[in-house]
Amino acid sequence: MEIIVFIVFVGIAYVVGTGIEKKHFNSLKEREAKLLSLPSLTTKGLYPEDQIEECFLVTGSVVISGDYFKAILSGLLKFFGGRIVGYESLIDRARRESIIRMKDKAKAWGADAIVNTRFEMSKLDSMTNQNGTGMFELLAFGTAMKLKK
Amino acid sequence: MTKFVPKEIKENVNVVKDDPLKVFFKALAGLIIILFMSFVILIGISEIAINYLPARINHSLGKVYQNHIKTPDHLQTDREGIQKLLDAMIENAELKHLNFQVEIMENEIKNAMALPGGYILFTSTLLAELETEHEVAFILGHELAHYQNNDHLRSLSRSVIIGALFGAVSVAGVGQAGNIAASSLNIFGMKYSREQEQSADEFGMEIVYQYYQHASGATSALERIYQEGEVLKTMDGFLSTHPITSHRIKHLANLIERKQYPILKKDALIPFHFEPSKDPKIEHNVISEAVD
Repeated sequence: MEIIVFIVFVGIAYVVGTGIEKKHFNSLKEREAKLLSLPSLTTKGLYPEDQIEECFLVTGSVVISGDYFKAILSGLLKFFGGRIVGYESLIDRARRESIIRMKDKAKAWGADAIVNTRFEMSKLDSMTNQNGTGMFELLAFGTAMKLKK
Repeated sequence: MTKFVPKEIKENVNVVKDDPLKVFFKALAGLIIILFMSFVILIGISEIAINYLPARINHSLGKVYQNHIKTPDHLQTDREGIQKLLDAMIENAELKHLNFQVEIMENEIKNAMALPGGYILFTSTLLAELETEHEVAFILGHELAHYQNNDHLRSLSRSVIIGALFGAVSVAGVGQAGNIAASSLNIFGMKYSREQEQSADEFGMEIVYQYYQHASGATSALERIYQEGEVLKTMDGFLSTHPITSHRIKHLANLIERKQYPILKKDALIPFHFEPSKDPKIEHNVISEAVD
């Protein structure tokens, strides 16, 4: 009985989770293309000081969680080691989403570029916790600049 | 100033391309294989250990149960009656390597079991179902067979091994999938257990025959154990520790017919009223057909 419930749960989590992930990846691709003209760079000092009109701190934060299937899968893969299939895509989604949100904010402010972009990640529940699906926050932040025209 | 050229990167190297479902089944199968191999090796070691286990240790294992399975006072007379029957049967069957002791437990489950240390435990619900002494004798014979084959030690070692593997999986932090993989071992264990039950049935029937010179009670005892819930039993037959009862009954009936063991008419049987007869080998009207 326990096995049947388990299979049903994993099955539902897989179907729903994969659907959501696919949709998210498509949306990421679309929005990234729209924001492509706004550079987000990790360097500082790329733009000469006399060209900069104004600076502003921009942040983009995402809280994301894996699904039950990902949690089960990662638990299993932990035994053998190697690339953790479900979580690589999850973290990739979170990273890209956080950049998009940061860029959105910068664009709304009227920025021409974001420099000194950094990432910060914090676990909200333990990803190694057997009962948790792995919830974390990914924060992208940087300095948005308006350049003198 | 470096010129910024917007360029879309098509390839995503940060994500594994493998199908997660495929990876999942591969990993699960791998884990099950590892667990199964450990299980087989540990069972092999335990089989050797069981064969060399001194009787003293075998007996002392039963001390664990001693305090938990004391027959309540108002059932003592019943207990003594069954004990007498058991002692008389052992005289005939030459099965004296343990001091067997009957205990009765008040419980809703219809069951009897052979515990380490020679404790044959009946539940009150099972005793209430049994109508003839021959049926009680068959159940006793069935449990004696478990001692003869060391099944009680095997079951113990099997549950210890499965428990240890569950523990190992949980320490490894594999999570729920690990528990599921480990519980698949139970299925192998149950298949093995069903074979034990079948052979215990045969042995139990032989003991009844040796003692009474007829095989009445063997099939009817089984019939009484499972009168209700047979449909349910058939459905989870694969997951059950005992073979589906109708199969067991049929198997025994065939065996009785093949060996041409006599079966008595119902009114010739000794009724079960907690005091076994002094001389079980009395004259009976014999009918040749097997009961089913």
